[in-house]
Amino acid sequence: MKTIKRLGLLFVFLLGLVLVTACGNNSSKSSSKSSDTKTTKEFKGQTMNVVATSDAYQPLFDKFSKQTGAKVKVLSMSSGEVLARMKADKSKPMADLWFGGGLDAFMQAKTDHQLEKYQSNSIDKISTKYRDKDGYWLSKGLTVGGFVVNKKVLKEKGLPVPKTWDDLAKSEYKGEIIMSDPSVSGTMYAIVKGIIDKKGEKAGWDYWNKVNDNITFYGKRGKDPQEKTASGEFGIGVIPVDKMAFDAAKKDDLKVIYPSDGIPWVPEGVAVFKNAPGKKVAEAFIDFMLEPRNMKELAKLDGKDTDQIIMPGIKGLDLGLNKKDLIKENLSNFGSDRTSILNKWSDMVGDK
Amino acid sequence: MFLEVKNLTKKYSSKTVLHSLSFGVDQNKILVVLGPSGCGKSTLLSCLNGFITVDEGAVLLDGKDITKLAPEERDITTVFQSYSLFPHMNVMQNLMYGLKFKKMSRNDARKKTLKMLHLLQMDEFANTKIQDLSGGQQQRIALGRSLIVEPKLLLLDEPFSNLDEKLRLTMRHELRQIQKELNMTMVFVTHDQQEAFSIGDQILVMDQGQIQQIDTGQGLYSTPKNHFVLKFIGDSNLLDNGDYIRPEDIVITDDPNGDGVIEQMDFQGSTINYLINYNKHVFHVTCLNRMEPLRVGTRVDVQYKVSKLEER
Amino acid sequence: MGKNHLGSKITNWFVYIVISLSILLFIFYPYLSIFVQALHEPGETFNNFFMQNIDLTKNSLFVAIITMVLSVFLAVSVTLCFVFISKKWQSILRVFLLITMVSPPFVTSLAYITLFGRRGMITHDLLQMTIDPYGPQGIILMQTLSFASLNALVLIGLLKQLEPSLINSARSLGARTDAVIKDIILPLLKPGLIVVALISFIRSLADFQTPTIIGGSFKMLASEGYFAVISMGDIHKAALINLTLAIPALIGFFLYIKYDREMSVQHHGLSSNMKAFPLPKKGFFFVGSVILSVIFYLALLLQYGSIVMNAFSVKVMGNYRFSLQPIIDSQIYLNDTITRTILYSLVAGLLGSLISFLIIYYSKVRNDRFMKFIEMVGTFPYILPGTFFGLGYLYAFSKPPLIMTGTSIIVIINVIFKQVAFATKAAKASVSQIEPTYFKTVHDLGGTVVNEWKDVFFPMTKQGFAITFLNGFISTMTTIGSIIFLVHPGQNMMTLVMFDVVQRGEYQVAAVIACMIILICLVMSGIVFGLISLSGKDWGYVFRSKKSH
Repeated sequence: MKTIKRLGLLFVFLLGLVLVTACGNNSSKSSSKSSDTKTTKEFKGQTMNVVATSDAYQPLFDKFSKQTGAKVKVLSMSSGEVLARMKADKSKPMADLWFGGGLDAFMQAKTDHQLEKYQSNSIDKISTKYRDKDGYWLSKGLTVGGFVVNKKVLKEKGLPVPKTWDDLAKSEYKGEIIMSDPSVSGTMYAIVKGIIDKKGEKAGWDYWNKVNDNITFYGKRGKDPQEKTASGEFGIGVIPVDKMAFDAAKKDDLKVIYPSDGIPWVPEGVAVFKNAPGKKVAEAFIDFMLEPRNMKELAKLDGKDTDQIIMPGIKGLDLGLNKKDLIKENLSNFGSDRTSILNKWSDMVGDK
Repeated sequence: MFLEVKNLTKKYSSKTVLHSLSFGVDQNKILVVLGPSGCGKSTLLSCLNGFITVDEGAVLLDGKDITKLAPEERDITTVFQSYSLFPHMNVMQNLMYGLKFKKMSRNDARKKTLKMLHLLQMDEFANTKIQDLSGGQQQRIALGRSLIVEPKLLLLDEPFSNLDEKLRLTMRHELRQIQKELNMTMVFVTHDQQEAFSIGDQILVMDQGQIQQIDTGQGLYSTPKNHFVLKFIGDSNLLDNGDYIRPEDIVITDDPNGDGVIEQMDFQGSTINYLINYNKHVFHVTCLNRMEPLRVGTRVDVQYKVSKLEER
Repeated sequence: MGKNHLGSKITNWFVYIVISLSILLFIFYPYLSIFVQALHEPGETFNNFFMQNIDLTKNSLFVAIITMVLSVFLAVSVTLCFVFISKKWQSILRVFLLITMVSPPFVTSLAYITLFGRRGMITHDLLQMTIDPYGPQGIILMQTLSFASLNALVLIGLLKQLEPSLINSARSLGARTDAVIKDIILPLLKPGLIVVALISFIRSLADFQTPTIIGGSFKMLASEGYFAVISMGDIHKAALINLTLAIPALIGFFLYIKYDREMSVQHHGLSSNMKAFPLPKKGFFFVGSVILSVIFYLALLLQYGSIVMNAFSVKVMGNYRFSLQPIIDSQIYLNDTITRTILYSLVAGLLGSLISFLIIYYSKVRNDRFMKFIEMVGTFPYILPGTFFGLGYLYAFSKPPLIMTGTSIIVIINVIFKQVAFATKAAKASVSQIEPTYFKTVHDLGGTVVNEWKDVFFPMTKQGFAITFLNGFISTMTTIGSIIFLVHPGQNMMTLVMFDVVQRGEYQVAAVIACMIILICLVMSGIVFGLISLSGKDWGYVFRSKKSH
């Protein structure tokens, strides 16, 4: 009998361990300090689950926690993965808030009825161009495309520093350019789509055909071009231009370039998931984010100087981007054309 | 001397396990190294076959100093207690293995192996897997594998200890026969004195890393050199003055007026062992089973022969 | 007394049923779901997919076969080196190999690119060549390096079990070092060689990380399966790809079972207290194995040196400077992840080992045929790619009858059951050390099944249990594939964070996390081995009594 008791105890102990582990996060760090008088909403004891493109937003979430008492749990995940997970697991929303990621995924999710509609009181601050007309998503900033150059490598090969997208199509750069697979990197997709929008269907694809001839292989990760240019494996990398790119350039003695013949861009989305248990908290967070001082903080965390474009009047960083250089893009088919563009792209590049 | 060991000393860190041993073995003779477990006999063997290095002293084989040679360079083979047959080879391959390293054609090696199989009386097992052999058969192959390379010296490390009683007797007999036939010099390690008596031309009794006595079996029994040998070899009744009486040297006869009383009777088959109380001492007595066993409590007349220990 | 027996019987049946059901539910059912998804859901048919993407399969098999051959070859060299070196060096090198089991592929690849890349320090700066490292050659090299450690550890373990007198017999018959290795050691290691070869083959097939970093334009099944999910959200395609992967993996597996059995039956001989090593440092194998081992250890040193360097430095204008910045930077990525990862690993190690030992109790001690089947089902997560297992969970537990996705429990269950495969193997080895008569003795003296566990089974295997636990702990600390699709916010694990920051290019942070994982694993190994050696004295006799037979 004693043995059974002991085994039982062991079992209970292990079960307890499981439970503690499973719920540990809820109790571990309760943010009870936030008896702020300024708080407009009180979410003490509640949790907001977030899927974000980066862990870098933590300070903003911390600030939100402090103000509202809600605990924020973040998991960083690419937008493609978010879509895939939602498709496979329809039993539950992925999280409460979807923070960042290419707009095409948000458009897709809206079509698939996986988003919750929310119109913040301060939504008017964002220009209509950068939010869904039905109120399913809004953008928190733009990601813009450009390239980074390894001066040493180009010098060794006796090549001039490219200044424009058209330069990349020149045959002298053959084997010296790297970019990521647009099916993996949302920014690359935006660049491909942006240039097609700018040059028109036929000229656009002609252009990409020529660039393709210069490229040995496509990176399988968004960061490949940045890194492989830094290590000198390639002379030119096509990248999303943000503060990280400038920082990295400083680290590795590279040069970041805004092409003078137009800058492709893609809005970064924010949305609430359908049937999210923490819907109210997520909505409160959107309100919170839209407060100018928080938007400024976000701009800093994002390392982008594009937030002011989204919300006029906000002073973020100044990375030297000129608003006039942005390519005129057609956002309406940004999501719907993705599959066809990527298919055509993959036919063009073959096995690279 | 064919094998000569001079002042052999082996230490492990600070502990000396072999104390300056010196002895020799004549050609075509078997020396049995006998001693309780932990006496250093396995270490001695490893010094001879080269698996451990010697700290001091020398080992000479056929006049050649082999002290520093690696095991594979010595003209010595060893039959290990665990048979150590290669499990991935069959009987034939096991037997032939050592011949690979002798400059010998494959055909000759084969012939020689078949001859060895015949000698071992295992002709029909040439292609049998090792795992399919019985313990005794494995032992034979292990012996044959070491013999086939015609070493100058064959070492055997308690080779029969894993066999049952009957098989052990047969194997002793066979070993002697093969040794005679092949004119082999051997060093045979065991803790079993019956085995030592029946196999050894000479027996080296060892204890605590020291040689206690080297002699023939009979010599050891009849003239033990010291207390250890006396107590280790056979049974004896020690007297207070240091003399001793072997149990078979006591003759008891049924006598109601005798001075002895039977305290215990132990029937052994061919012999009967008694414990008798005589002059307030207890004595072991061994009698041949030639008469009705004496019952416990019977008074007996006691006759005996005292031996003296020839302590040096 | 009677009551006692009744309670024991109930416990027995309860445990038996719980274990069988849990294996069926948490291993069999997820695989079944994903197979059904791949074959029956609308979309491309398997045949169609397979025929059109035959090149992917060819590429994967090509890389897997070459990696298998090379990594086994390297592991053999490293193992053979052990027959020449002293005990002290052996244990140092073993710890080193143990550390390199935690092998984040990005480190290897990064060091490789720095040295042998198109502008690599050796190829470009030193030899004035421009070589393209991207492609199958890069993948093969990286995988070979990182698989060789585990292979070598398995083989070294086997080497230590070789009966010394076999080697001594060969030497006494005149075999020199080369002959001993060629005729005795290598043939006796053969079943082990085949087992590690198959492990490498399966690992290479399932590895989706290395190709994404160093593969260039070379496409393989595992990485395409991963991309199918993360870039296209195409679970159906991922399922098809994984199904394709499963075919060679399953073939490999059945070979594996066959040779694994051989590996365990081989050690039936008698053993002695003799020492066989070190062998004389002579001959072809000595020179060859030492040269290859030195190169191998240098490569490992370089890799792990670069991790440590990355963790403690920042780059300014292309130069490295010492800094604690990476450690500070890593804080926002980690939060409570460290505690959670350790806790999950502890739970997985404990429960995984407990379940595995109980399975082995039924399948081996009791010779229960159904449990043998359960044991085989338990090996699946070991052979099939981790992502496949994860996708299976995502599929199976997101719909009735059992909806668990989004909970922490599903992640924990996943890591527990994922390691049953390896743990049952270790358990089997450990249990085979116990004389069956002990169990009979318990019943003979009036004990029950529960007494068997309490008085014989667990006490006598506690050393094996500790090792199995450690294995489970380490493998959970380093697992990625099976949980990458399962974690929700607030459930992240250290390896996933590391994988994520690597994708993001934050190598410094990744290096910090890698160092932490290594450190945690080392500390845990220290604790476990410390406990074993503390209680070691009491256990000597169990093994001795076995030996003296």
